[in-house]
Amino acid sequence: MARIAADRISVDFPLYQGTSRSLRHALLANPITTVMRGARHVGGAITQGQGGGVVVRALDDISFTIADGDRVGLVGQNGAGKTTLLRVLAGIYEPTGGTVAMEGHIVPLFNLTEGMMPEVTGRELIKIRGTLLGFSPDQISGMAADVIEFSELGDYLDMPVRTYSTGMLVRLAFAIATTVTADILLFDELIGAGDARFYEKAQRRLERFVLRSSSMVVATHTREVLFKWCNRCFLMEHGKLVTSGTVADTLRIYDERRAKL
Amino acid sequence: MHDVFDGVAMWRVWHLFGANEVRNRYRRSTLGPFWVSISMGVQALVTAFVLGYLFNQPNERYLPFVCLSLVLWNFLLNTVCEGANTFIGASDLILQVKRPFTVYVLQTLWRNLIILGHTVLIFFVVAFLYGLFPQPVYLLAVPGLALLLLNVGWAAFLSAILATRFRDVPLIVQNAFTVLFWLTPVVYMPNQLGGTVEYWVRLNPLTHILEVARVPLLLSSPPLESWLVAGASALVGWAVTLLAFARFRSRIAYWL
Repeated sequence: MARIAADRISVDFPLYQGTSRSLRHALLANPITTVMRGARHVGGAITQGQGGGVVVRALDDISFTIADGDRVGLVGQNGAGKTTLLRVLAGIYEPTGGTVAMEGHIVPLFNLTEGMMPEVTGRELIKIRGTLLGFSPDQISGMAADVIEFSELGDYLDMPVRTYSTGMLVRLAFAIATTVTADILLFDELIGAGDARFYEKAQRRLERFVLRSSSMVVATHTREVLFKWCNRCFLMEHGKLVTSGTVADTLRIYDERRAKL
Repeated sequence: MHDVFDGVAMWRVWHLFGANEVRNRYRRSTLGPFWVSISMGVQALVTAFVLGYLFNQPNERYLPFVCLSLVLWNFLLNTVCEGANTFIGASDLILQVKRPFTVYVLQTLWRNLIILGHTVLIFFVVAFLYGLFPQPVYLLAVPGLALLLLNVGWAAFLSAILATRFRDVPLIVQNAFTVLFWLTPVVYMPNQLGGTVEYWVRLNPLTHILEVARVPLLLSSPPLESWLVAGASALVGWAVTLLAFARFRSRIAYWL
């Protein structure tokens, strides 16, 4: 069972770098920045916080529900707030305004190489990743067998991962990540792996993996991914949710808006 | 508070990570983590000989004392200093998956506890050489070390929270400890001072936190005053830390 209900969520990032005072000063005094204010830019709105500091509004009053079986694609320019939204859904950022209600076990797969230290061996890495994902030693040995078989790394599993090629590392990370079972999967760009022959195999595995979970949210710039995997699509712009609908509808609106720029 | 309980419950994670970090630091070196024992031993012996000579102290009393003091002090110093960088250093992990923040603090503590396990061996070697064999009073070291650990724990936790918001904190902590090293009876014994100076040094809670862990292993019993101060410091420290944590927990990810 999976369900996400976001009700008017906002995320404000306070900016501490440098002194906010001098930055405010610059915003008001410098003629170039004064002209720039109000001009079009990527990213969320830059405003002044209550304390007088500079605040970036990364998400602005977003509401939606994701039901069981929904596979949502997030589209939008760089800095539109896709990653921030994913992090809110993952529970990493607690929204500064609004509420998110979630049911189901959520597994974020943003960076497959989390916890990867160059000196550990492939086998140790399986153990580390397994532990990070909350598995018990028994589950990890079960998972290890599957990962070893799929990744085809053989004797390399007892070598430090620093000796792996990028492709080998991706194979291993991909194999580990796709053993998870979750109700809701979160991706920042869908994962893919390996050379041509392996790619086919990886696609089949990915398919099984995604279908095993009841819902998914993926931020992506790849249209193929959207058409292949998603039944809904959210368009984000400057931290706002502009529209949500079918993939085809949302992408049409996205293209129209981009053409106007 | 939930965060703390969940964090402790994820012992597999911090246990594995703490141990792995120690292992990685010394991977491919022949002696592995025993390098810390050796460097600690060399540092302690040199300090003991030089200062023992300057202070005119008999080696059989002074050497085990300085060894143990430096071992414990280094544990305290490193844990709190590394503690300040706990969340900053784990920012990659924190921004990937929601996990109790306490996990990262426990990881820092566990890592340093493993190192303490290696360095304290030096003290036992020295103590046995000078004939300080375990006696029943050794048992007092158990609550003593527990109090030390509790105090180090909150200090590391609190500086981790503060340092994430104010990036000057790790530097302030480091500098403070350089000063505290001389204001705390680490390489000298409190009763060597006498008079008003001793009175002032005894107002320093660190003196007592060190005493409760140190004195039993040197075969005497710490004064009641030290137990009380170390205990009170642990209580007050944890209360402040947990309040600060409850207040700022949801902000930590934003500060990274």
